[in-house]
Amino acid sequence: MKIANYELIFQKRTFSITGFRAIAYRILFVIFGLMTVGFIFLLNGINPLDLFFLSNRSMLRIILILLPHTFVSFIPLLCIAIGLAIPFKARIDNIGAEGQFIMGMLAATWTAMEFPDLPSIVLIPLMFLNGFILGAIWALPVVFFRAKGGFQGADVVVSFLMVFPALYLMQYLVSGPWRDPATGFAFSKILPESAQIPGIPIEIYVPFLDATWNFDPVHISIFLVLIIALVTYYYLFRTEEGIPKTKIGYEINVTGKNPLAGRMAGISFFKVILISMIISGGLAGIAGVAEIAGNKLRLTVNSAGYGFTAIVVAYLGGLNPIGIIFSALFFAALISGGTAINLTGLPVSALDMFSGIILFYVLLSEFFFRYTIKWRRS
Amino acid sequence: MSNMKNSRVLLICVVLVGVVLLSGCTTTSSGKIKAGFIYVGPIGDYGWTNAHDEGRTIVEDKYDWLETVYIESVAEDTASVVAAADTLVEVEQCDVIFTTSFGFMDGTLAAAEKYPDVLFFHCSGFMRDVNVGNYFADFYQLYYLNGLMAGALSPSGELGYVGAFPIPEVIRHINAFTLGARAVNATATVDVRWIYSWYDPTLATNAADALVADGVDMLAFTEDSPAVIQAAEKYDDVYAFSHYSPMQYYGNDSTISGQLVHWDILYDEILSKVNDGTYNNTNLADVDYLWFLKEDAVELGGLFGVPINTIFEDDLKAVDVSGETAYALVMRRLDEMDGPTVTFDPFTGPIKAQNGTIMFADGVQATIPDLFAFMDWFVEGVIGSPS
Repeated sequence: MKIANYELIFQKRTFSITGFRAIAYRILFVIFGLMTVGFIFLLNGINPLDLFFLSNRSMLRIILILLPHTFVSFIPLLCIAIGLAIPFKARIDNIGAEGQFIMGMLAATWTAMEFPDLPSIVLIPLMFLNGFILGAIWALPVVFFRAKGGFQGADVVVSFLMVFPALYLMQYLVSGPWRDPATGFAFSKILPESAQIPGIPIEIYVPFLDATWNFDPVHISIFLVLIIALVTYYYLFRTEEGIPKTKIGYEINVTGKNPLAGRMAGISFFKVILISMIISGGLAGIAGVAEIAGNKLRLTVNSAGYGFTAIVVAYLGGLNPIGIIFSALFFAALISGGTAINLTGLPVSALDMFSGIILFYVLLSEFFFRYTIKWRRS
Repeated sequence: MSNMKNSRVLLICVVLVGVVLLSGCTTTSSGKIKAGFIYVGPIGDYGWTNAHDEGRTIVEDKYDWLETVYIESVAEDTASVVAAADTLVEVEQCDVIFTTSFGFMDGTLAAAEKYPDVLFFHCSGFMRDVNVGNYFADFYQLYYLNGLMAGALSPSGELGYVGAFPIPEVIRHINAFTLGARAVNATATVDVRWIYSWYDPTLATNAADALVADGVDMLAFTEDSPAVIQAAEKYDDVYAFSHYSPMQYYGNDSTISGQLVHWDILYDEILSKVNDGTYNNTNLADVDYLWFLKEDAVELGGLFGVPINTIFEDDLKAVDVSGETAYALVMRRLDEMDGPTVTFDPFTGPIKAQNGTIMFADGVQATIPDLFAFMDWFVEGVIGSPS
């Protein structure tokens, strides 16, 4: 690319950036993002330092006050993003986690309505199982079109398009067959108590915030998703000197880095995509079950869009479960703290701009991980 | 040297954190009442949330003792509503919280339990508690009046309705619109298209265009943007009824009338009673406002103060309905419902369902639960399915 007398050269990096340097780069790009947003706020007459940290209504203070709420959004974000990291690592773009998430919510609601008399200890695991299965089924078309079809971008297109049948199916069910007969409004009945995932019954008064942290809304699925993160890390992501320690982890890695070499070495592309998409869809389904049975408690016509946010969470986390734990916390905190922007009197669309700019910088950092840029006088 | 530098950085960090944390400790209480509003959409939606926000600003400007704050686009799940209430109580120290979406019902009750000292008012719901009251302003009388005009002015007798969701509220409004139309034109029909969204200008435009393509020349709708008005404005002989906000601005040549709300009337009533001590955190279990034309909570028209767009007045006066002009009929019905005593209700039998079953016998008037909880059926004359 040429600009005036200079030539811009994009060069693919030969060595990937890993470890602490990668973490530092990502944090740096998030800070660049915050600075850009801050500049825009400044143009609107709002002091970004007040907004972010200093004022009584700052994002930081609201995030701290809403810590339990942050954990509620953290649960689905983490679970979906861990699932996404696996196909992403193999360069399979599952951007339809939202649909798989919705199918998990449907599976949970159906199971709870069909077997309300089962004891919780049986019913809730059954809901998770069904959520995993239905979420995975919803991801399967991606496998076949990508592996067997001739079109390389099939994963992007098919996974995205599969979101809409799921969304419309949910809207149909809550407006029709599953509608709560007691009210006639477009939502299902509240799940029976046996199907509700209990919260953490802890209340802490925090003197410096003059607020009470009530962790009751934080359902114990949080432990499940953290275990999932660790197990996934152990079996799929753990590396020694940069090389994945497990066979399947190695195969996923090679497929992503160089599919041709993988095929030459006898790695089945179909097997890799099948396994990674089943886990990915299944984990999004599990997130849906947790969201319905732990937070929403009944199906409504809309879904919160965690499936889309989780894509950025996965990338900011460096496609590594441990990193994703932190990036999921970061984005969950942004969801809670976003209110601060609204309280300054700026329209709520400023919050979308905020998330959009952070997202942009996260994606930009991915670019710099792969390329170097050099200037040269021509 | 580097050690000293590090410790200085550390010291600055500690001071900064301290400033942040201490800044949270200042509270503002001054005998004023602070009301917080939890909105489901953006205040710029030009529909539901916009109308609530207009009401909020009017009462805030009116009373010195009142301060207000709002949070927009809150998701309709329990945790999100409780989190919004956390912010309003813990950060903003609100005394009263209005939750302005039906989907906030579970969340409002949960937040009210968490903050027993705060008064909650949930709009359009039906569950109350000692510190949770309900309030709503409904349009079915206005949709009936709009139906009268649509029936009188439609050459084809084919009317269309772009509906948000098949819930009792929207079904009731479609039914009222149809009853009005058929009161002046016994063969009029209302074709319904669901868009399954409260705010989606694109879907609303598509639905309106599809209805026009099917021969419809009058459009009413439930969607929080002027998209349907703008769609009608594209065609020479298609007319529309504005919804929720003064949308006649967006189509002066094609907006006949519409439905307008005055949430300020309800907010004024409720907040004044909170201020004078009538309402407190122990006596809201029976507070359930359902206000109509009589209480001035709603108003007929596409612009405030203009019940019928003046360019359509002569057309309405030229239509004869059993001995009186359509214009006179609309004005008479409006007068009968405007109070002080209401002498007419659109949902008075005989009313038949789509399949011909008699739902309300001759002279029987529908009850509030009939209209607000159990209305999942369409009246005769509606084309489409109520689900």
